[in-house]
Amino acid sequence: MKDTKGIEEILNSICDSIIKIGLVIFLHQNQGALDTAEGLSRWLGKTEKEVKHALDELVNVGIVEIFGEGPSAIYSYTQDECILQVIEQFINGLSRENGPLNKAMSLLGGGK
Amino acid sequence: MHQILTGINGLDVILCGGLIPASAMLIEGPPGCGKTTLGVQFIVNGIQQGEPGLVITFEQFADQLYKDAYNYGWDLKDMERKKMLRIICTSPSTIKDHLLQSEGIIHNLINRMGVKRVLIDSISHFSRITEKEGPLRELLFSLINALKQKNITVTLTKEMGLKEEPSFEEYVVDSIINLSYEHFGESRTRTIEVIKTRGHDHISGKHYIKFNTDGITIYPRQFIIEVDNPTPFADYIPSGISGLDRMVGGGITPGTSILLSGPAGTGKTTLAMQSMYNSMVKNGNKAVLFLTGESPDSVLRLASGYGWDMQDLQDKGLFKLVYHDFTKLNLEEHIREIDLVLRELKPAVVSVDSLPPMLHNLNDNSKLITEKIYQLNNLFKAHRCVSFLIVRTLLGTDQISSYGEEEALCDGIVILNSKKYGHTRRRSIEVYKLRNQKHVTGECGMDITDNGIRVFYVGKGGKK
Repeated sequence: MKDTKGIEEILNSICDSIIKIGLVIFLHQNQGALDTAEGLSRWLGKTEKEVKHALDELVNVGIVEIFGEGPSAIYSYTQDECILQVIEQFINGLSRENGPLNKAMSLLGGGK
Repeated sequence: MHQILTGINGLDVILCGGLIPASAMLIEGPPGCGKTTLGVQFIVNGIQQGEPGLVITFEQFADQLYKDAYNYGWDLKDMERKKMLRIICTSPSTIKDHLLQSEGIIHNLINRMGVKRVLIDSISHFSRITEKEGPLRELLFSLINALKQKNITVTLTKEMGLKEEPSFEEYVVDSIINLSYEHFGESRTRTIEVIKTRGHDHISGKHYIKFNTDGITIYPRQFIIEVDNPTPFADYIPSGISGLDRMVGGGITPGTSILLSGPAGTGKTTLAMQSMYNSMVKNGNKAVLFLTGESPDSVLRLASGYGWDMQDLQDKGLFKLVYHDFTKLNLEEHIREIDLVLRELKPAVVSVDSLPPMLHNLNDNSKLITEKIYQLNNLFKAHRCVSFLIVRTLLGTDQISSYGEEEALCDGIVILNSKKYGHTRRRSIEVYKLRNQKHVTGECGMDITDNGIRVFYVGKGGKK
């Protein structure tokens, strides 16, 4: 069993960014996604610049993998079962009534 | 030519055996007609046959595909967990860049999984790369070939309006399926048409499709009925109505279709019921009554009034009363349902009461009506049933059938009639036609008694 403590800390730290949360949720729900930063920005409905920035951070912590470099580099979600389990728990936590996701959504004027 | 089965109910029939391996099939149609569902079903059926699949989607979220597929009992997530499926949400440019490279993440994925079937949903999004037809055609051609070289069978979806001219994509692929909508009166139904197949035949024309609980089912317009070992009934199946049986030389040959025609109240339903009842009780045969117009309760009450306990026969497994709401069933589906009942029960006598409601959505198209009656007759013949097809005609006319097509297609015609003499009505029966069987021509008197129909034909040296 991997030490997931580090991952949990990283996951908690990404809560500072709606883009990162949105990316993690999108990738977790669509685990076969495989696209460039530009392509992923379309799926998320965000600008390429902010998605690229978030992706790079997620690559650094091992949640996202990168293939190639430059604008044609493509990103995919981690296939590591251990990380996936932790993220599953993380997303479930976010979705709780008083969780940060709902707080964030309410700040954005949405709801969950 | 070796073909692979799509596994989609009815599709392999209209594709005359399925698709050629490592070929490309285009599924085109307007929004909501079932392109993605058909494509996913093709992938799922491949997985069920041990062929891993890949879905490349440019628009639909995988999460939405999981939910939609789950409604048909396809657990795509579980298939992904078992490494038999991968759904890739991506962009046309990413696919272009990575699939056209000889190596790369998508090629590695295909090789690692041993992918045999790919769905690209939809190629309309390639216009995001360029609007120019030449480069688009070249791109699509290259993508398809990259997959074909890996021995992969590809399905591609394409959005199109209800009426559109052939496009370049249609020249690049090996087969084309067009999904569309048809209006039948007030209702709208989905249809499928095979436009082209390279290297194998297909059944042309539009076929009705339906979304069932296990996915899309296609009901081919012309399906070949094959019944292995049809029941060996006796040479003749008597109606048990002595006068009538004498008129036709003892009974009706199995596999004969009889158009039972006459105005309202002349005894058509009674005669068919009586023949079925007698065949069951006196000869141990089985019978099925397919109701389209009359309600089951009223027919059972009618039989009960003559002392025929059809419910008891139904409980004993000799009789089956099948009610189809003709407003909810397409004709092809209706004929399929009838075939299933015949295969299950193997009856000697069947009755369709009545024929016109079955044909209601053909909009008086005589060509289609002829085709469907022919198909229905062939179905009963294949099962070696004596069949009564009931039609109501107008009182006081020489009309024999509802559409003017039935009389030529049925083997026999029995006309029931009633004429007014003074204050009374006299009933009559006439065997107007009976192919390959000697029969008495001309009208004979008949009556409807408390015990059913009585025909006043004596014959040589006979008695009433």
